[in-house]
Amino acid sequence: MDSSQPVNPYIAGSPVTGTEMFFGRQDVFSFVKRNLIGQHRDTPVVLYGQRRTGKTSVLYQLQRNLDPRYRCVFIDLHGLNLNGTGNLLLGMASAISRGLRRDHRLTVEVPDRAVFLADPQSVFETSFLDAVWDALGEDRLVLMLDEVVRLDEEVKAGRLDHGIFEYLRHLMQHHPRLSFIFSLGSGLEELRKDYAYLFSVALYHRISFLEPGAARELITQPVAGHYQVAPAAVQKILAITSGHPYYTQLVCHCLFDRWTGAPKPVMEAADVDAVLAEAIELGSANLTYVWEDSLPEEQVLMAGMASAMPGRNKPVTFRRVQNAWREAGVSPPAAELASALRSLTAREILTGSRACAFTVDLQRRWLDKHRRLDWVKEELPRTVEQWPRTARATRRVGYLALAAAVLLVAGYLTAAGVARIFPFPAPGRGPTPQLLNLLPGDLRLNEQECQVTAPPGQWVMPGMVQALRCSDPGLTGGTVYAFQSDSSAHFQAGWRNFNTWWGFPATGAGKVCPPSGTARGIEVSSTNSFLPSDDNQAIECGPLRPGGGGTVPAFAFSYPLDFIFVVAEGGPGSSFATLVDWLNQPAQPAQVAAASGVAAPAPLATLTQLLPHDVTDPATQCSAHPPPFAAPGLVQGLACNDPGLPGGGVTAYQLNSFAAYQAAWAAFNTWWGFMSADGGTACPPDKSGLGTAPWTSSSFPTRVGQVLECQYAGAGTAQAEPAYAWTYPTENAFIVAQGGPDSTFGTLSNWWMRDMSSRSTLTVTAVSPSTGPAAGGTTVTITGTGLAHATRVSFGGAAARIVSDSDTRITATAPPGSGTVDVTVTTAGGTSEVVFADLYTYS
Amino acid sequence: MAGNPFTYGNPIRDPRRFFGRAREVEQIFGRLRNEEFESSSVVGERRIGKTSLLNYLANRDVRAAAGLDIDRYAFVYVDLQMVDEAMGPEQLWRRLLVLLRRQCADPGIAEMVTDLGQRDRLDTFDLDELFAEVDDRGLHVVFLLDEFERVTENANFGPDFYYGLRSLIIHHKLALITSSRLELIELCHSEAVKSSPFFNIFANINLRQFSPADFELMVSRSLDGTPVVFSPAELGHARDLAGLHPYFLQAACCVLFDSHQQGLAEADRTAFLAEKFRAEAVPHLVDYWDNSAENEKIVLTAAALLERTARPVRGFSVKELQGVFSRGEPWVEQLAKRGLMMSWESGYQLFSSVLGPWILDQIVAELSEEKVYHDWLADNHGAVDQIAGKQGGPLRDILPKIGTRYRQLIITWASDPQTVIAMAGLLKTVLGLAS
Repeated sequence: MDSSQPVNPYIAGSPVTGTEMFFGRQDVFSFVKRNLIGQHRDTPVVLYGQRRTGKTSVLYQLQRNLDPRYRCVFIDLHGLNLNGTGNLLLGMASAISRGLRRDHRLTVEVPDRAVFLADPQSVFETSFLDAVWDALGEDRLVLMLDEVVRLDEEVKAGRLDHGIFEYLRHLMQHHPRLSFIFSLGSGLEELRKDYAYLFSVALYHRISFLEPGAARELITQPVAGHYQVAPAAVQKILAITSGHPYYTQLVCHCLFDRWTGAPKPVMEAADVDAVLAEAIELGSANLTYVWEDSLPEEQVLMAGMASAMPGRNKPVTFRRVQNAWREAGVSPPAAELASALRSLTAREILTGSRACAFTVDLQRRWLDKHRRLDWVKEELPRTVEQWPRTARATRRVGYLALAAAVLLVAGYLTAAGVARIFPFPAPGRGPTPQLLNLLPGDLRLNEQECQVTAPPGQWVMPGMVQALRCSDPGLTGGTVYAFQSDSSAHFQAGWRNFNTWWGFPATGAGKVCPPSGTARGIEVSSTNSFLPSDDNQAIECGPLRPGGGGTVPAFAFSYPLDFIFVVAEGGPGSSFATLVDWLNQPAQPAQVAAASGVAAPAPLATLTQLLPHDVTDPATQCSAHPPPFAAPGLVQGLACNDPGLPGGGVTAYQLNSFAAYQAAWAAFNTWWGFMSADGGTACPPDKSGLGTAPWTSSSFPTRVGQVLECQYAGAGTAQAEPAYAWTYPTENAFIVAQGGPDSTFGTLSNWWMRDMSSRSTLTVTAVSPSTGPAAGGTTVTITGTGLAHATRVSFGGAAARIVSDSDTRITATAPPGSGTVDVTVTTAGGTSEVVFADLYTYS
Repeated sequence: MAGNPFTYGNPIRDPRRFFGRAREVEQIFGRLRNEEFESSSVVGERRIGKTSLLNYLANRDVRAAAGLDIDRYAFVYVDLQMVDEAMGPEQLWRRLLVLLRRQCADPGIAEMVTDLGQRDRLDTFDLDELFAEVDDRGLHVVFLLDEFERVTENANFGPDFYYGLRSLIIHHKLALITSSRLELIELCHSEAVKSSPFFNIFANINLRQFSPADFELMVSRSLDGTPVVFSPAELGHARDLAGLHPYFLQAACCVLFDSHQQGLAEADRTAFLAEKFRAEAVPHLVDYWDNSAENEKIVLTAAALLERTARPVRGFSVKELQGVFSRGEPWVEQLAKRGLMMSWESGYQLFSSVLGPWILDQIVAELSEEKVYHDWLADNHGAVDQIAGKQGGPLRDILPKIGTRYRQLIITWASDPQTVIAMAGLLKTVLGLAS
């Protein structure tokens, strides 16, 4: 041991109270400054986020960043005796007195303890606060209350009177020079939606992970006098921690220790690998805490995910997690896992949408070492069998409810008429992002066509978060309603009530929408690889009587995982055809929206982009193919050899409009002799030999009429072969695949599931090299999944020239640029999410 | 005659006799030297040397050499075995303050501590005032809390205690170095305490076995100045008996030194060491066994059986273990963390050559137990059911030969359908039932 050894600067556990090791968060400082001095100056500020994301550190730094006329006093409610209002107020008074004395050189005496406790509320406000205002002169007092959930806990435990909230509200209303900043250790997403309206008046800012730039500074700057961290090592740390402040500090702490043991000028990615085991051991308390603070179903999901992604933090689908458990002889209820997925994503432990990974790879590594699936299976036998709600579940809800109560106080503080920022929607405000995202037609891009409306009067919607009513000029006289509930149970109840009102399930309803040969139809989707089977989405269609008058055509779409359903009604006298046309129109922002910079709709995919994955080279495998049926408006017809269909093949067609597509699809079915009414509802088909099933693609939006048909092509002849035909309504296209001689529906189904249904999720996992000159020209390899048929590679918004592409790799030439930028890939399925792994730095 | 330089009864207090742990010491001191004065939690099995480490850290010369100026850093070691069921937070704080008073050179702080000790009541706010004064004077306080599970397992110490302590640690120059047998979060008396954020301010420092270099250093430094020299064979024998476990190494070396002092011939010294060491080790092996989870006991038993069949070389691969207990891997890792298993080539071995035979000796029934097997069976209908079917078939011959206390363990082990045949075969070989 050598006392002259350099001190490890990284802080792995405690809040950062000094300035040298604090990076980023300028957005928070700007937010608070703006709101303390602007028109919202009387509005309390709430900083919220999961534990360990640095909220306390931010409060410490805020004190240094505010105008000195704002006298900040930090009060950690963990450090106060909250047994009774008197003790709480006495503790606050003492903290204020000491804070003003130590940090601001102002003297304010705390009244005698006995006097104070005899009438705490009055003494605090009159004797004490008046003395504070005298001492402050023209300045303001900013109380920074950390760990405010303790108030809720103490009220719930009966040690603190609920009236404390009223009293705090009173203080805030009557002392204009008093400002509050609350720190709340949870995500607002976790708060019960019952309380959503309570949060309608405070100003909120989430404290999440560090921005990439700040994280890079944290990794490189503190050690700049000792060693360099190689770009690959920086990248590695970012990939492992995602910029989580605690875990980034932890890994860097271990890296510094490694350097101390064997100093060298540059620490490489291999050095990062070498310290990860130690980082997990040092950080064990936090990694264990995440586990211990999770509900049983969350633990089951995490263990299943770690098992399903052996060796690396690669996103996995829900179904793979289920399969991992099934291989262990256990079938966890999908609904429970879906619920766990939502909460773990909200807690930022998991990330992703269609496929998920761990936000912090250290957590996966910890699970791999300490909570393997078979071990968890042994630990949670009763959970796996019965899924009981433990006391911890109650505790979490309880503490969140209490936090909600605190925020209610915050909300009361704001005078009416102040412009507000809403973490949750409130009556009179805009749609929630979830609702907006699921609106049909082009409403998603034309938010101004929707208004928050009152709950429906015709049926009961328990736990409703928001109802929207939208009108669109293209839907002449028609209306779209959307309803969001606060829980799966409430969604199910609301959807059931709506259906009862509408007359569903209806006798004789068909299985397709728009209804064909029947008055009503119901399609149930179960092919999305990420949806639990009991969370099936449904599309219903039938006549609806909006209110007293005649009937109109209507569709209803359910989204069980989002607790949302949407009802689209055509105008009086309209037909299902016009409603379907409107529902399937490409998303078009209205003029106003476009002018304000709303993103333009994505172009349609080309036909080659829709081909099965094993048609890897359409230029050589495909040739032009005139359709043997009427297809006015044909853009392209292709016939392709497919190695997965020996002796068979693929034909594909794309039309120039939705109407042309509909006509061509109908003509194809006539030509094909497909009689849907005679068949079953599944593909591969039942003994009837033909079937119709809805299907969804992970790459394209699901639309009405998106269907998979199956039958023997050439039925009735000696050469009958199994065939699938499926549609892409949003792309005005459909594809037909036919097996070869002697093939079966089984082999065709397997091929289809592999090459069509399991389309890779679009992700970028690495960019190599990750640096290059500002002039551009560097040949960069982008690795990931779902990259085939990329239409654009962007370096911070600038397009790169694509040299070659495949499903897992793209080679591109970097355009000129500066700074550190995200490299994203766009395919017909969308654009890759921005991740740490996609960063590229211009040197 | 030279005095025996090896001791193993009490924790080591003389820093000159403290060997190894350089990495752990630097990690702990490094966290105290950084800007935020951070806490650490030392975790290790009984006798692995936690108390010795805390004593070493608290030594004035040691910490002065580490750059923690003795005038500005007060290190207060507290053995929490004194915390009994009746003790609560306030009494503990009063005890800590008395000890702080003794260690703190600053007269102003000493006076405040004395004043606090004389008050009728003491709460977190009083403590906050004290540690604010500590900050103002540029001082730092480190409480070294040995056997901290005595607190975490005590229901008198509720969440408020941990909230308050965490707040003091975060906002002041106060740090804790705790020691405990398991990670603190595993030793909480309630879910409420377990979910407290208190534990996540600590870095976890696991104490495992010595490295071979630590062992060599311990022997060479200890024998330095004595006329005794251990032969390589003797050192190998000592290591085979004691593994690299510091306590058992001290015990083995102590016995070996005695045998030299007694002038025994080399062959006699070997026998003397084996006999005396076993007598010394067994009470501790009993303690480890009793504090093992059921799956750990199964793995220990499986390891003992595998090592016996693998003679003369001890050790087994994870695959071999999974062949007789498919769920064994996480538990063998847990045992390695506790120091009861050691890495061996690509697998593991029991840390001591004494442990395997001792386990097998324990599980084999005595004749009297075997004779009353049917009485036991009559009282254990569940066991009868479990061995009635195809899966339990192999157990019918085995169970009578197993000691009464261990039969349920064997039945649990046999509930692993993938490995019941292999495990039964292994047991039959050892029990002399193999055809």
